[in-house]
Amino acid sequence: HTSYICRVSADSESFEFQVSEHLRMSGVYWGACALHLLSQLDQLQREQIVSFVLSCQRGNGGFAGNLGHDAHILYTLSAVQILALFDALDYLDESRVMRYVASLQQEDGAFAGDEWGEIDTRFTYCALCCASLLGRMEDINVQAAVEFIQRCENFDGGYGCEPGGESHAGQIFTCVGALAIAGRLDMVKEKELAWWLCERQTPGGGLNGRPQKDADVCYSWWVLSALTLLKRVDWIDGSALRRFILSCQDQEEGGIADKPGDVPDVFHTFFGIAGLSLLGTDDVPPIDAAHAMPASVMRKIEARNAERAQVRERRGGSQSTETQPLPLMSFVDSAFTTRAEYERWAAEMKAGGNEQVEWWQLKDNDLGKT
Amino acid sequence: GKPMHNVKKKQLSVEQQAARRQENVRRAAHYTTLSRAAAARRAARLLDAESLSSVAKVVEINPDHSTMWNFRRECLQAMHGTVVVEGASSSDPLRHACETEFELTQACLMINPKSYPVWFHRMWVLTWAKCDWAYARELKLTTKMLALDERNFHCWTHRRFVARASSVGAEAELKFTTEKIEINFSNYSAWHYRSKLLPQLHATNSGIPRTELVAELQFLRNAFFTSPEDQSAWFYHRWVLAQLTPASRDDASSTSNIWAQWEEVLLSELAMLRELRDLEPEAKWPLASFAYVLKLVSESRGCNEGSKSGLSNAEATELDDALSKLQGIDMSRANFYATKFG
Repeated sequence: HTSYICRVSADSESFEFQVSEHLRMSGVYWGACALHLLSQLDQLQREQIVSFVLSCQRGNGGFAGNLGHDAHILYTLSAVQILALFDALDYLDESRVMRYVASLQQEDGAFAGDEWGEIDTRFTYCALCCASLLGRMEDINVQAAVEFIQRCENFDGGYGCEPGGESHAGQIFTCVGALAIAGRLDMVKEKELAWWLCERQTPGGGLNGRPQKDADVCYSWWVLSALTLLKRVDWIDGSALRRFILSCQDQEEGGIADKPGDVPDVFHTFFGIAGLSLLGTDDVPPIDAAHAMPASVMRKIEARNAERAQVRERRGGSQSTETQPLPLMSFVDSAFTTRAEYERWAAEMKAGGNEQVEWWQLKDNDLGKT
Repeated sequence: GKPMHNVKKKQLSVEQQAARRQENVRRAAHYTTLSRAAAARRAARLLDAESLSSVAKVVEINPDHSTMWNFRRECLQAMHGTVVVEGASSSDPLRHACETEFELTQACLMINPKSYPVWFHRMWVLTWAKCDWAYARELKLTTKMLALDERNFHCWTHRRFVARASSVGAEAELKFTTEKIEINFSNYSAWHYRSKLLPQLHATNSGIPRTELVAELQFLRNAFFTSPEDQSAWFYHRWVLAQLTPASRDDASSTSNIWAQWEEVLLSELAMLRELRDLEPEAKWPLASFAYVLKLVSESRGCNEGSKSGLSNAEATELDDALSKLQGIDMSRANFYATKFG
């Protein structure tokens, strides 16, 4: 699996690599986190990756999925997770990042994905997980976020993308994970939801994402992490699931696929390994079910955040204290290949802010409001 | 389809592998050229018709490239205004622009019906350009797409948005779910939508009337006896029972009446489930639901002053037998059954 991840990550000529350009940041997180769980993180070039991540930050403080792409909350979380894995969070101006995250919160507590206004509980999760990793929960309205999640609860105890949306294991993970981070698991209909989740196990041992769908390795994560947080992992047959995950491995090329016999990819490789971690088998070290990060990394993060909180307290406890912004990377250190691209990025970072219209404000149908 | 899913691994000869790789790299280079061209126009802030064309070539191959859709929206706003004051008449260039967006997103949806950025863009255009003229057609589009895949939650989300924007009532939508369910009892998405529509329909009353819920139980019976192995209806059944539970109702009737009515409903369900259980002894769902309702009976007797609390010896034996049987026919959930419903 290590050689599979390294090979695929470097194969920039392939069609699959190119058409996944928009989610490169998440791809790097899946690969890096998987390698960390395999104790092989040193197979990746730390400087190169940190440089790529930081070069994807935009003037508004958010991170894009790739160089020159637009900032989005999904890739902002992935960026923070990658830096955490490489113990490189000190390179971040976390106030700048949290200003972006906080700016995406709506009046009803929901989070938009970016300034264009798409709403989804995935984005609530990204916001809370990001804030938690940076030790900056107070920068967002957690109570309102929880209320929004509550409005996404369904008849079966599960959660959808938005109020009214059907229950889906992916969304359930994001909502239960967000509630766990917010310390509000008491809001969950535990028994109903845990039963719905254990009903995801199919005769072959694998888990599906909702009733009548096929089993898929990625649900080994979405379902299992939610069940872990609800303390009912034993409601599924762990050994049958393990057999299913292992049968999805590609014995020749390495990597794990969505189903037995399919072509593997980094996404399913990560979630298969993460699933085994939650099952506590195959010597995979523990993973934090709420943050999807190795437990060992979470311990470092918690220590770091505690220390930083103490420092802020000594300074007078104000979040709005204007600290000096971190110096920008030089062109040579950055991931940009042309000077022109670098200069454009550097100018934007220095100026800050984002001139794109906040479309979600137009929803008010208020004529004349710009 | 969805990237990275359901791609079968094929056994190829060395020559075949080399040929496939060559084709793969060619496709990649073609896509990269298009993507870079569009990105260059964006970097140069060229917000015009040619950029729209450039973006279309990219998203037709990679509909999930959300930055490209952002660029597209910037072009539309630059060409037609950030805030549209009035919905366009049919001769307006704005209307023509919207139709182009609908055509493009529809083409993308034919390739990948589950692309978040594509569905969002379509919704964005409808809102930005105040396309009141398009909503009837949008509803029809969702009906058509749901006929192809009744479980596409993006499509259901879009339908809810369209219904809200064009004031299609809960009554009409409830009828739509009835139709979907009658075609296929196993339509979880339709049952789910029902669970939202019924409370909406009765929002001004003190909840869903008892008669409606009892009617739902009757509707469910058809599903149970036609296709007892289809699980969707069984999940919905639990919710309907939960709505009828005295603890969750504001009914004006006297306390003893509520509990007696409730036990009557439960015993009626129990009789039906016994019948199903005996018809299909190896079927998991009738048996699991039978055990579940028996547990509800036990709990309700504890609350009803008139009756004995808990189960009779015969009933208790039935429950234990059911749970043992379930541990055998539904082994994955053996631990769950051992907890006697958590």
